Amino acid sequence: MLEDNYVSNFWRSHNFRLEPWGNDYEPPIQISEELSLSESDVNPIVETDNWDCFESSQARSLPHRLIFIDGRRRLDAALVGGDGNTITYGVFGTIAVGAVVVDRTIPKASCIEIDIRRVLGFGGEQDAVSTPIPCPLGSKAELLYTAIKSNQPNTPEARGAIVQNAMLAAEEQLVSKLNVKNADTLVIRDGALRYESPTSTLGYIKTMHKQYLSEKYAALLWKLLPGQRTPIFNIKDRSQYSWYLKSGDSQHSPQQLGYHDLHGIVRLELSSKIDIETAKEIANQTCYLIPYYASHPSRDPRAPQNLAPVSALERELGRRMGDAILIKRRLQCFLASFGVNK
Amino acid sequence: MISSEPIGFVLGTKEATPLEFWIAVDAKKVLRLDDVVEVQTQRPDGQGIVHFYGVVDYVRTQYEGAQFDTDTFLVAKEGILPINISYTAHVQVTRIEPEEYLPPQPGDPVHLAIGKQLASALYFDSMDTPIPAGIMNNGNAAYFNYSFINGEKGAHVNISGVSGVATKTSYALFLLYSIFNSPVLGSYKANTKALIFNVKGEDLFFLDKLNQNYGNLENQKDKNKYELMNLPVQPFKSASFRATPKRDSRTIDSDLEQRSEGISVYLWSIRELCRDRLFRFLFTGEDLDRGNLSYLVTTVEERLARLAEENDQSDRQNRRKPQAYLQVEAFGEESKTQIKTFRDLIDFLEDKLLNDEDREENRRWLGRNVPATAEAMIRRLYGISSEVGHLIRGDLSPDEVAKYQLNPLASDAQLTVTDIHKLSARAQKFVVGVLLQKLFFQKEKQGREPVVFIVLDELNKYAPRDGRSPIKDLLVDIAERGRSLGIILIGAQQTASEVERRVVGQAAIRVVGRLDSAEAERPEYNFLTGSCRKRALFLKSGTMFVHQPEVPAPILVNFPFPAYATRKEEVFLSQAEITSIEADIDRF
Repeated sequence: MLEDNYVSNFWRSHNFRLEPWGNDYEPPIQISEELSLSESDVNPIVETDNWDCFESSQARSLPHRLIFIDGRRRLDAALVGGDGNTITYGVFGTIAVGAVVVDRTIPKASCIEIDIRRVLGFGGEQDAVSTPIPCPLGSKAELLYTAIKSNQPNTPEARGAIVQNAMLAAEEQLVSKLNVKNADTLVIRDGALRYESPTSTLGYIKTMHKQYLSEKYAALLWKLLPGQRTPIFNIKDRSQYSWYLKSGDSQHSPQQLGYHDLHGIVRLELSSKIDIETAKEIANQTCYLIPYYASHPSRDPRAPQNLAPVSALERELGRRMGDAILIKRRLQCFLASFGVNK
Repeated sequence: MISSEPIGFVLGTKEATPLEFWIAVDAKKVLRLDDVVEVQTQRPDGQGIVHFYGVVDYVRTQYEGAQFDTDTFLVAKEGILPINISYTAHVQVTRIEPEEYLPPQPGDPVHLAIGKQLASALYFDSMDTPIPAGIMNNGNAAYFNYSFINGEKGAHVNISGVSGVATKTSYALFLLYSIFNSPVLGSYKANTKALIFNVKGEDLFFLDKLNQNYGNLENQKDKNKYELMNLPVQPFKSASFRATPKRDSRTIDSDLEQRSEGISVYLWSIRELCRDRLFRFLFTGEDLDRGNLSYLVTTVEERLARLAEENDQSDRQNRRKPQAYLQVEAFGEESKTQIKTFRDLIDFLEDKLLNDEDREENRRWLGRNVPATAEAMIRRLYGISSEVGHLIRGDLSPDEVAKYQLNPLASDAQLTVTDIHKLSARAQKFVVGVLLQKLFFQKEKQGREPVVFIVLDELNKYAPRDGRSPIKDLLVDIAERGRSLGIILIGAQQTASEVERRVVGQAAIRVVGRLDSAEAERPEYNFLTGSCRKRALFLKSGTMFVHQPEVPAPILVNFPFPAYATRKEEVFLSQAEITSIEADIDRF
């Protein structure tokens, strides 16, 4: 009960309240993944210097097992308040990470290691306290928001960063838990490789915020057909190999679907700690694997860039995170219960 | 007792009500149609626990979260999409204990009901007089409450189903077997009788023989079924077999081919026909629908009855037994004075109704009817003459008549099998009508106990929905009043919709085997739930839904392979019998 008192005292004394505007009115979380680079950091000739008409060779063999990893995050409630005259920004957030294992021999896909966490953090120096939110009707479970110590500045933007970092941490934990050492398994992470991960993990970047290649090399991107890739280039300061690949179905050209020619282009990343021959082999494997697991435009507006197992995983994660409106209502009730006495 | 581990939980995404709810079935658990489940719900105010019992009437699985139908390929064939399989079942609640009609809570654990809970779910535990009704899919015995069969609380059984899938007659026999071998009859056990009409082949003439399936092979599986229901494996112990006499034959022999021993013939004397006012059963519904014929039939029947009574009186005065023939004043060309054959009867009536209209005596026979009506009657009598002539006899001695009398109540045997399969449709109606009429009169005098069962197939023939006939009136009477008289009708037909509503409607217990699809939609089967109707279209042989007043859901049962032979080929011969038959063959 001492613990309970401690938590209530925290909330009573700090006078935190919900930001009256809902999360929907805030700008979406924009963590640009590719701002830290410039063209000069790229070495385009690690595989070949012939970018005019590159022919990637067939992969010698394909992995038997694929693991797709993804995470989702959500700001459950934005907080504002604090002692005296200072204003502190904080957030209740939910993060979810998980993986889909595809056994290509059967074949069968299944979700594994799905982990849902609820986090509470503040900008600036403000410490948070782990808080259970009661669930008055029905369910026996309670929402436990774990306090996170963050070093974000005290700005409204800190909220997104706190949740994002928590998610990345959870994802990193998941990757280390999977502990993939088998050469037969390829791990594909949805998004850039932003944390230390086992060498065989691929980063899968759907959107092109930044052009890595100078015009001379980038010309090849426009000529790629589904299942073809560019030569590998090296992003030096992130010590990563990377290549572009055209995903999608050869029967549906972008023109047919009314898209521009770069539609379906994705970028893949691989740690440059592994030797270039292995990297080449993996790059060749992706020429087959990525289009195979790509979803179709009739199913997913983000097709073919969005991978079908990943979109299923996203749906599953979203489901396990719980209903946003319901959770917000509970948080509101919780905070309101401290306002009565004031 | 309930199974220790829950089979699933009350589903939260569909509404749960006190009368029906859905179950989310646990992975790697099995829940099937007809399984019986139990849910314990804590009252939200903490004031006790409510038990819900129910029968599963719908089960389904589906890919949960699949957006498109073609996602199925991505999951099953290509293994690209991870997906959940949802396995849910719908439950029809049969019982709530205590009777508090609150909904179960989503997430309440659901258990399979077994043992006592199962009996309680289907009210078997509260039946004062349970008799086995068959085996349920879960391997337990199902029961009927005999009070709803014998007339105490309700009476009559109605069985529907298409031909040839071992439903109607087989189940009726099983039911009789179950009743006769059940301890609930108590002191009435020996006296309870049954009358079965054999309408197809000579199948029912071997009911007193053990089925070779049990004799030879020691069929353990089916034996166990009998054991489950606490029934012995034996043939019908006390059965008498009655057949029609051979047509156009001077001697009176049974008209059967497959069996000769233990069969006796049944027939009626002309005197009896007249005295007991059975004349009307010679006419079928179609005959009586037109014109004034039914009026004339009543008049003639009455006159014949009076004639027979006068005859009886004169026999008594002469100190002799009542004869089979009718002694009358001279009639016909040969001026006969005795009506000894059916043909004589027609001649006599022709004489009375159509000749010498002016004679005072003859006018009384005709009543106010016109000669055309009389002609119509004579025509019809000529028509049926060859079909019933061998059944209505005046040429026998009183002793013979007594010997061939068919009276299931007076018979020593518990079961009387009466063959009518060799008769024409009109003669069949006559025999059924006459037998039921006599039984009805007798029971009216005797009272309810002991109960007599009548197994009658093709009810639609005897009590059709449309039209009127003496036998239909009689069956309606039995349906409505038989309960207080102890006459229990186990009626069967292919289509209940074609049978007079009052006959089917009075049956407390309904049994449905496989149905035709158009038939299953008829309101007569409203006691079946929607899914039961669909399943009734493809029920397997020997499987049926049974419905009784005490249990709010139809129960699917099957019954064991009969212990008694229902065909000649099924008769079990012991080694001694085989030896004796072989010896017989050698002799020739």
